[in-house]
Amino acid sequence: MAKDEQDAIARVVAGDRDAYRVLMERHMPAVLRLTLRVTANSVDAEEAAQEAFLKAYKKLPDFRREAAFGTWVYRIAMNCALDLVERRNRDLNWNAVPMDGEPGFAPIAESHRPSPERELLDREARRQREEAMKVLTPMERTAFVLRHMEDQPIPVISAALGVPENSARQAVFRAVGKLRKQLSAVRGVGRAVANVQPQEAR
Amino acid sequence: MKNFSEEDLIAYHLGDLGWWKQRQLHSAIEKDAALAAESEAIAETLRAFRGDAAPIVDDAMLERAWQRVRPSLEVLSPAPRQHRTRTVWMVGAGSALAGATAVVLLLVPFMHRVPGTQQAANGVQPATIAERAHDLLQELQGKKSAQGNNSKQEVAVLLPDAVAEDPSLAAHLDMAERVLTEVSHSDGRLQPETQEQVHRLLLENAVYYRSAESRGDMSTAAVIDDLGRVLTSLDAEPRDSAHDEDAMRLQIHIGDVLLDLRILHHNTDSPAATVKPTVLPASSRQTSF
Repeated sequence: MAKDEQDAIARVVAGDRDAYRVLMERHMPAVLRLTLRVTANSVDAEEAAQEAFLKAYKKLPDFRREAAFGTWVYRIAMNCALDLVERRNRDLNWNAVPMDGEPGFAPIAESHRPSPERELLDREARRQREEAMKVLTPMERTAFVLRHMEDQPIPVISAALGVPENSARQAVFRAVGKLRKQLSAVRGVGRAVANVQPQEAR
Repeated sequence: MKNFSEEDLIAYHLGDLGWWKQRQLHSAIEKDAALAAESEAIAETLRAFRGDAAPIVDDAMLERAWQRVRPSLEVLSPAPRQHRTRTVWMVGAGSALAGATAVVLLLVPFMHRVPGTQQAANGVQPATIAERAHDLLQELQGKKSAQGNNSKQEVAVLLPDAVAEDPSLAAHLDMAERVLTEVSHSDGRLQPETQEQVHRLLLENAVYYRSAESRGDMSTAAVIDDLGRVLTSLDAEPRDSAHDEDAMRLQIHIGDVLLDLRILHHNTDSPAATVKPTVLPASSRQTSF
């Protein structure tokens, strides 16, 4: 761990709250990327990320200094994001801004600026992916995102989600199976439409 | 040639197979066109979820997050943790030892009334719940092993598709698994938050049980019923003593068995049969326990 991080942690534990900002600024991007992928909306992503940093702060006196703070808070964030998705699933009235919805997503910009056509295609692909992801349970979604998009190993995922390794692995398998089925259905419809249209035109 | 399942292919593409199996599967894909097509379909699915650009966190966003978090940050003070931890540990260990001794002394006169159990042989009186839990565990394991040597594959096709078809039930069971795992790894009384989750799960469980029962899906109902027993015990009983903890541990083992069955059941939803049709005879779908 970098010396300035160690110093910041020592100052926080000694009572300097503002020193925590250094840690937040450094690790917020990775944590937010993770929570955004798991929750699929910017409002929840920010909430889960903030909750993770708050939990990490409260546990900071117990934090082993030889470990990496970034890895530690990232793992806390995995759990916070899953908890939030589960809470939202239970709360039927919750209507968060979806990932591809313009208003709420604006503050979290993407790292490239594609052409308008590319943007349109990207948006449609993202919409299809988000639709497909809706069939997953919160656990499946989180496990899949962590394994495939965030490249986290199964032992890390199982520890963060609080389930045995086999359960985490099976959740990933189920997720891929379901996504495959969903996407093939969408593509099947797309192909069918593409095949039908020329005949109708004739 | 060795048969490979959809899970093997997914693990292959995620890089989760061992070196030897990875190599075997790679060579099988090169030789078998059907397997290659299956592999490509999975790879395509995974590629579709790789393209998201990473979000950029700007200064305004960081400032907003900091302003929201800061008011909740209490000033930390470096407490003499080691001393306090040691004192708490010693008091806790002393109390636990005294409690365990008292329980053993109280139970010794009754030991001979429960002949033939492992617990009695070890000098520990099994709780009623523990006995029930143990019996249920044995029963479930017996049912699993009774499916034959290739039980993993066969249990998967014996169970109905109810879970796969009902996302809310799947989410319920996922959450139950998380909570039970958390309980099994914690000591002492449940945290209020966990207790609340258990209670909510218990209420929901009753709904899923009735739903499964009313549609005549008795195997799913039985699984949910067993889960309900574990949840009822957790919801009703404070875990004050080692005695209760033994009972609870057994019940959580049951939860693991049940949820393993659920995971196997989920596999029936996968198109694995297209890869290895001989492993999944259609006739065995008629059977259920």
